[in-house]
Amino acid sequence: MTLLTEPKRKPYNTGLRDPETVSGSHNRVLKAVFTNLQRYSLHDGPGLRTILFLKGCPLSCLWCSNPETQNFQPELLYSPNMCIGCGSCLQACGYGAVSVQGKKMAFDKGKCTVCGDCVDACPTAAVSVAGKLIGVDEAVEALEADAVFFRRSGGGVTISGGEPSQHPDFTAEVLKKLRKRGIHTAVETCGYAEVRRLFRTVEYADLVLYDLKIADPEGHKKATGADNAVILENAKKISAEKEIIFRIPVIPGYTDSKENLTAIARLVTGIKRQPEVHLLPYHAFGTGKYQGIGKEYKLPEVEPPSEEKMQECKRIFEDKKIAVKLL
Amino acid sequence: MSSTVVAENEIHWRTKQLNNEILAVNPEMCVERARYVTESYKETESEPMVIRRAKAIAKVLEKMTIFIQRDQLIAGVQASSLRASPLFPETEAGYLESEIDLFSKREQDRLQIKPEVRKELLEDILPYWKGKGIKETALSAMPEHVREKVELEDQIFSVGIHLTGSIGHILADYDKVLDKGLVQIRKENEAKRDSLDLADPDEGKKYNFYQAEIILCDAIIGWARRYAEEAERLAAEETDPRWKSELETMAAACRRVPAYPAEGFREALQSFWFTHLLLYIEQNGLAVSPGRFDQYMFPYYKKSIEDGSISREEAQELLECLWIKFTEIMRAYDYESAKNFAGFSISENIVLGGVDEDGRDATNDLSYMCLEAEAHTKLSQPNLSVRVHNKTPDRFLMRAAEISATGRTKPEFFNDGVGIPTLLSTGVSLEDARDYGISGCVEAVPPHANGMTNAAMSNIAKALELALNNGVSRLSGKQIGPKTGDPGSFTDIEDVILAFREQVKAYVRDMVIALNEIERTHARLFPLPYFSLVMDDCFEQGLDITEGGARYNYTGPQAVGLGDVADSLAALKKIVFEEKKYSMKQILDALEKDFEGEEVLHQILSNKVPKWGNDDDYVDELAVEVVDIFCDEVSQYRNTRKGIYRPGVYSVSANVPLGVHVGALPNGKKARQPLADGVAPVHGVELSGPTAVVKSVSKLNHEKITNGTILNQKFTPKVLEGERGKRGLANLIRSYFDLGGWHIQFNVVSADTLRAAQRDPEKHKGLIIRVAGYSAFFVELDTAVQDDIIDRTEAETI
Ligand code: SF4
Ligand code: SF4
Repeated sequence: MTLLTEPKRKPYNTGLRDPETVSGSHNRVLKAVFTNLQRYSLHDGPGLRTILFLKGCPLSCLWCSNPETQNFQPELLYSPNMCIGCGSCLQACGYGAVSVQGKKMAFDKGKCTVCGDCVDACPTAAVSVAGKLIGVDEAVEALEADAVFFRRSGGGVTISGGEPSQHPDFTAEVLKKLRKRGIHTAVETCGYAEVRRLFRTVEYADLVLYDLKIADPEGHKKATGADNAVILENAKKISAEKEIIFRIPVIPGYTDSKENLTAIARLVTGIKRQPEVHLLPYHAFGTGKYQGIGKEYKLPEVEPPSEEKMQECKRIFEDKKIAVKLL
Repeated sequence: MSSTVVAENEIHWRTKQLNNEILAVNPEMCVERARYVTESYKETESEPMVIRRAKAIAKVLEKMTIFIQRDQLIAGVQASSLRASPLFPETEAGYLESEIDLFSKREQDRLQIKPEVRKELLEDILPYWKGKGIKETALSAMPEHVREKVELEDQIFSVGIHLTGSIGHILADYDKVLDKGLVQIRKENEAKRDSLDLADPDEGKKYNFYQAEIILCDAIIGWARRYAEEAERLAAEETDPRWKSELETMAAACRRVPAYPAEGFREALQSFWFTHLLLYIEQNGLAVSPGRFDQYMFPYYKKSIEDGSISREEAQELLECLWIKFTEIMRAYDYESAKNFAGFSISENIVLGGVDEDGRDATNDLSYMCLEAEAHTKLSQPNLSVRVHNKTPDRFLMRAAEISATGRTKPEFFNDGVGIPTLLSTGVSLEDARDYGISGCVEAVPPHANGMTNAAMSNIAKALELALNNGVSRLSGKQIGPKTGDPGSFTDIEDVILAFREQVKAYVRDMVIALNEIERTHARLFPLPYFSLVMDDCFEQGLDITEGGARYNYTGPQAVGLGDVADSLAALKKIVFEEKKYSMKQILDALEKDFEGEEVLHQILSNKVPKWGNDDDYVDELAVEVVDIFCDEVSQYRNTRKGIYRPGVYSVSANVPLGVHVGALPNGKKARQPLADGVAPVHGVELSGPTAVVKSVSKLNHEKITNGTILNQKFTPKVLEGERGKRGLANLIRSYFDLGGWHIQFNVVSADTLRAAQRDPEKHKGLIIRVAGYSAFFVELDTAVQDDIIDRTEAETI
């Protein structure tokens, strides 16, 4: 799989090759790498939803709580909490990537080829591979398992990530089929993509959840690794065509200042008449996963925003007559 | 968090005060009932049993201390002080004596016992009952091989509940007392008695039945009068004008009901409470349930609101006084039952909503008020249920979901779409089926039924253990099941299932023999003339409820350990018979050693095979088969009251003590560990979230499980927060019911559970933390983050 060659952390529009083209279009079998299929989700679109987290993101937000979705290629995820130190992985590994570290194990990313032999050998769920290939039909079947819940709740499927626009054809094909079955479809995107690709990604989405973070271009670049000009332009174009909800993570010290939120409020009113905004409070639940994939969590220690703080943030939007919800 | 379903200042001061008072009680034993029943029994030895029973109860009502709690607007207390436990030597004498010094020390349901009470019991009361109790009488009547099974140490079924207690589990015809009053009912019994052709042998034997009813009517009217007198006495002495006038109102009500038809809501509540309370003074069986309270009380409420005699607020206040009183009902369980039904759980089940006799939505104003009464209190009783059908108003379901999201596990939710057809299939009339209530936990029972729906807890996990050890208990080494073949020679999962079926067949048969003997013993020694008084058909037939006087007569034993059995079968099928990674012998050796030195195999069995509750047909199909085997075996039997056996799959808390009797199993369960709860997956294996659990469970043939299922869904608090959280629950309920599920209830995971998960992640793998755009398993979170969640959970649930 060419997919697995080198980490492609550069943004798409600077010449990143499309993993989908590589793995998919020669043989017409459209596939994507996903990390998780999450059922009973209540906060990522209307109703009860199933979320498919695709792998690979052109941004690298400091506060990302799903770091295992950032890289494009599958990677090994190790949860020391679940490890009983039996050493089966050590025996199974043909690449010398595993070593003993006290009572637990250590996995050398440099040596690991993500062959998965240790995963098969591990008797617990302590090692797993974050990122598996899935085809369109297989994804559709798994995603519609909860159709009865979607019907009752007005819910459906949300493709998230990572960044779905890194898998535009896959996303479009999956959603097309789901929509045919009467299932509500949504895409969550960071908006950082060449506009045609983004349109292709959301082609069969009934709803787009569009992330906005920092209004100031410099600040945005620092915290996410990318420029926000494309994102804002795309937002305008997409919202002209699609039902859209803007989602803003409230990250203390990064996105939560009055100036930033006021600026975003101004931006969204510029983008769309009667915009809808959801505010997502920061949480640190993802920190363990950084360790698990051998990454460093670079966000300095911050506390989740208080309920009062969230209300304050909400008021900034309300004052501008913007429909806003706290998630 | 969501525990604030109602603002503190919206709760009436009286409700808060009474709620706190009842929580503050350190429960103790009250000897009065035991004393007067024993005295009466000594005086009536030569009389017919039904008369003796009526006279014993009459004596209790005549002599018991009349206690009125200050500021409580409804009169009537089960014993001499608030939340004291009366004693029932008829069934309890044996263990009262042998466990007398254990009650105040045991870990579950502690009861204080005063030295003078202890003395009176040991010297005056208990000696009389030697050899007369239900337990010894029933046991001695059983064939020896059955008695052995009942008394086994590592037992495969437990019929203890009706050896140490009466039958309970009825929904009385409360409306009969409310509408007619006892004076009229007495007249009708007299008329019936006088119209008997006494020379006819069949009719002649009914004479004493009606005689007993007449004795009871007089006694009850006299007892209510004693409350009236006491309230008048207190009123005369009272200086606080508010409480004085409230006492006077109470006295007036007690002078009228239950002797005469209730006029208006206040009298109806008082009459209801007397009627209900007496069911728990006559006998000590559980789950005597008010049933469709919002239906039969509604006409009284409506009348009082319409004629202006009461405001909605006053009605709510009165209702809440009653609501608190349900938790007053107490009983001194024996040690084993206290473990099985922890928390003095009496299970007085009130069911709200559902359809009326024409199939239309029956939700009314009072249904909503009952939900508010529940929101305003936080007590163990009543056990609150909501019947859901397609036209259940969204507002009603949402409010119910919101209250149940506060971690009190109630209301619980029931599907009319399963309950009604299931009852019809067992021969209940359409009218009665639509009018079903819940007896105790989850058992759909039509009106006019003697449910006996919690007849036994049986251990299908033990049956599997026996199937995998040729009938020999791994714990004791004794042959307690039939020889179903050397498991080492099994070559296919079908061989295992066949052996399992034989084990189930054998124990179910013994269990039925035991239960039928127990029923006969109750009919002989413990007839229930008061139960019979408030059941229409008993009156019509002149037949006691224990002898089959009710219209519908059930006996309902449960299967416990479904998740363990299904997962074990899936593990064997996959690892031994399909992948052939391990031989049967290797697995059996590991089981014999309780996985000692076999940690890798233990982990593989625990983690690397399909598990029930993840919407995976591989294992779900096995679960369906297991349940079918149990249900088919049980359903073929008939009880002693011309009624049927109804199989159920639930455990209440019996999954813990029954687990103690089971050795290691191929799903990775170690010896003596708890079994799975009800139809829920084994703790910690439900990795695909609640919709997957619900989909798995809905695959069971619910219409065969005529005694019901319990699906207990656990959530971390965050998932239930806010509008989305409760909307999510409501949708989960509706969808589960669309899929054909019967019952669902919700539990909020406590800080303690989270701490346990931190210590022992393996057992709690399924705990999911969900927020927007993210979800993860709790056990995989960073320790500091786990600590933070624990701290917040603690702060929010206090
Ligand atoms: S995935 Fe393969 S290379 Fe990497 S640690 Fe496991 S066994 Fe070794
Ligand atoms: S095989 Fe799994 S449990 Fe054993 S040491 Fe490796 S990671 Fe830990």
